[in-house]
Amino acid sequence: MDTDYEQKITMNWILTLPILVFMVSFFVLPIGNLFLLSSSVVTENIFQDPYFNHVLRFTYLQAAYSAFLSVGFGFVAAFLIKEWRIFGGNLLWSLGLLFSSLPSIVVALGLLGSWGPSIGFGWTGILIGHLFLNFGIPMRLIGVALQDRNRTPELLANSLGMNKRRVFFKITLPQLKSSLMASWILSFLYSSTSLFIVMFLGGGPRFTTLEVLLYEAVKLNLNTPKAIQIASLQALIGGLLFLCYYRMQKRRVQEGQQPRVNLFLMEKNWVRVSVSLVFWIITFSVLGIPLVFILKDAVWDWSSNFTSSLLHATASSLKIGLCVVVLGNCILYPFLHYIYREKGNLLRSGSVWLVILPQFFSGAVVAFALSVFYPSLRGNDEWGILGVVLTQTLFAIPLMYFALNEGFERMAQERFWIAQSLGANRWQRFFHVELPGMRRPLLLSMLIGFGFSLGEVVSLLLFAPAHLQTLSLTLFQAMSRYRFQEAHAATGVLLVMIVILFLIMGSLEEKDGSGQN
Amino acid sequence: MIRLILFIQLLMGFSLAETQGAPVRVYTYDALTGKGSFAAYLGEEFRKKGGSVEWISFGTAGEALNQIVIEGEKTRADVIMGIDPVLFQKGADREIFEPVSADVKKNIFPELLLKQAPAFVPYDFGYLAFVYDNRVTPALSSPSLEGFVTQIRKTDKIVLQDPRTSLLGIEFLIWTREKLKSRFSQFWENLGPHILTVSPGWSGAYELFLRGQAQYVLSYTTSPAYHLMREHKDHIRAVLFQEGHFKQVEGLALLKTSKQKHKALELIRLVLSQEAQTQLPTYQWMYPVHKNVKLPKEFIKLAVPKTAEMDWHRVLREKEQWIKEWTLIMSKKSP
Repeated sequence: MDTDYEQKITMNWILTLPILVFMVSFFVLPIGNLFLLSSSVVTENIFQDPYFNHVLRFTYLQAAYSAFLSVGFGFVAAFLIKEWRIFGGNLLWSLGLLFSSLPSIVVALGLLGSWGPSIGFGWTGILIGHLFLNFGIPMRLIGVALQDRNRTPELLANSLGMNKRRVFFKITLPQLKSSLMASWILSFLYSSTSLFIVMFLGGGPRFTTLEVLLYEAVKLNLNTPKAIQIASLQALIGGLLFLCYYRMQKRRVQEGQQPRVNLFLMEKNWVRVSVSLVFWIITFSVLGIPLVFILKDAVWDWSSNFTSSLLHATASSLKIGLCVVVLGNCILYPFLHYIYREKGNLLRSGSVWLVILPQFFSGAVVAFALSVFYPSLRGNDEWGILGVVLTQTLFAIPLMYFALNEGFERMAQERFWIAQSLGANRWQRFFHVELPGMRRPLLLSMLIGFGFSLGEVVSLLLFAPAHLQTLSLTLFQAMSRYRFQEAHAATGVLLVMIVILFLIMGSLEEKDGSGQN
Repeated sequence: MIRLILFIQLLMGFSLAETQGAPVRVYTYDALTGKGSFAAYLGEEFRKKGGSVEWISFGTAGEALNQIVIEGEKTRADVIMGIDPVLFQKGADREIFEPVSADVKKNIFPELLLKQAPAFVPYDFGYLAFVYDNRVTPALSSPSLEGFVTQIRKTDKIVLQDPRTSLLGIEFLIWTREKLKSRFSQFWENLGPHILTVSPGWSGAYELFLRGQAQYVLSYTTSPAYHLMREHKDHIRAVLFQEGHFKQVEGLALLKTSKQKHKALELIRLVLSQEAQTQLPTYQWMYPVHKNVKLPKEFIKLAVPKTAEMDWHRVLREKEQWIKEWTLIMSKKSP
């Protein structure tokens, strides 16, 4: 056999093996094991338990309501921003991302602080909490679909006498169907697997979801058979939703260059200003006030008593975040290099499958599946920290993927051809062409992974050794004891770090954009 | 190279704490620890005797026990503190406790000791009660448990603790089940509309009460003594029931897996010493278990309620079923 061919095969294995081994060892096998166990460890049929049935109904009912609310709000926001170009639209477009990146525990704290327990607890709190966290997803998905849609049929129909309302319902809306459904699926999925919003704003057994029940079975009641059944059910539903989402995404057709005429632009300026005002008042009342409360209380409630413990917690959070981004990049980067530099476009769409799959499973399910498959990860020692890092990496990889993937997509192929024609070998091309070009996407992916790790709590609740304190864990503990002062202090530090990360990410994206131009 | 060494040091930083001596590690609930707490007092006294203690606190004593169970043989805990007979039994079923000799417990009121459970070491006790602020909530005329629900105003809210996670929560559930028998469901259905939230532990519930979010909180008959002595406020009162109150006994236990049982026993002796027990009421706001301790005058003024009798054999046998019943009732009616 040809030596070059053998070398290429070896190289391909070296590049793809880390992610394959990682995903199979820490995701596919643990989840598969959960399904296997679910039939063998069953001691009682949970579906015969009336309380479980109540929880099941509530979980998906609240998720459906939350998804309708988020999609409704996101749709209105996207339409007003993209079609009406309302005042402050770009700010809301960016805020949607920030809101979605906030740890849900921080949002629960903000809602309790601003609305008070009498409104914050129960249905109202849960729905607003989910709206707060999720509306950015439909707003962005629908906004992009609105922007990229084929406008020619709308203009033709309008010129032939069809009024704007009919154009909207007969031509525009059908074009948005797949993005509307995809964003509903995502919002539904995130609401059905939300833990802290329900745990802190539910206020009792009436408002309990499967995720909370799973947490209770794993952490509080130590009922592993029940936890396996709940986790398997959650994983099954997550998998089905992933398939639906994937089908929706495939149906999206990339349109070519579109006419820039905006049929729905409101020409009467006073109407545009009034609607902007009303929309901003509603947005600020529902979403802004909790955010203001979070920021205000974080500053005003600061006490020097917390400084030392928060410093310690910050250091631990930084260490874990560092491990997550290093591990994540070590696994992901070689794989993407293989896809883009060694294999070409063939595997590009398939690679998405592999890396984004964990996102469709709840953190509690994946962490629990890991703890069942590798029991030694749940112990009071460094193995516990490894469990935290592995779980967080599984969920950070899909987020880091988008930054790295975009970097590879944008990199001009010509540079490699020129380097190759000048006699540069594979390593020289990697070190002198690829790495300098990927510096910003790499940094961006690290910041994204780091931001995720900072706010993540579920893996810490399951794996963290008793002596480990991180910022998010401190916040969780303070919240579960309603120690608002301590919670606000931890939130303050967490928010400052997240905002700094956002600012750096924003400036990196800006530089990237200007670099492209 | 220097950067690489620094990076490795950073990663190794996780285990630095492990190299600094071997204190007696106590897993407990958070309200027992912190600045100015009984744990801080014990830590200081133990240090004077040449020992050191590390307090690792959890939201509830139940969580502390679960952590020990999860950690198994590898647990670093030597002692668990803050458990009641129900939680103790959960640990005893898994054979994780080491019996403590009768000599250690010789000064404890005999009625607080558990027969056939030499590993359980009581260190304080108190009576469960609803606590209210008499500036905003009118006093009730010594009602019964059922009378309490009918006497409070329609708009009054109560913060309770979750029986699945909190000692106080499960004890209140046991109290209502044992006292009311078949009327248990009706009682909780009537109480449902008044419940603001079911908190995971005592400290969270009390925090909500202090913030004025609820008119009543489930706490102890001794809670008013705290406000009187520490804050010189006499408006926090406990509702006293003529029919008697649940007596909570808090205890600790030495773990079988402890590698420093001798040092841990020294700490246990310190907790039960007359000096520490004299200090206990003003730290824990509970009654001491030592027979010869003189109570502070504010404690003497407090009315000591009758003890509601419990059939502990039935409680231990049926409590899981009661929790299931409670969860089902609450899922329909509350909050």
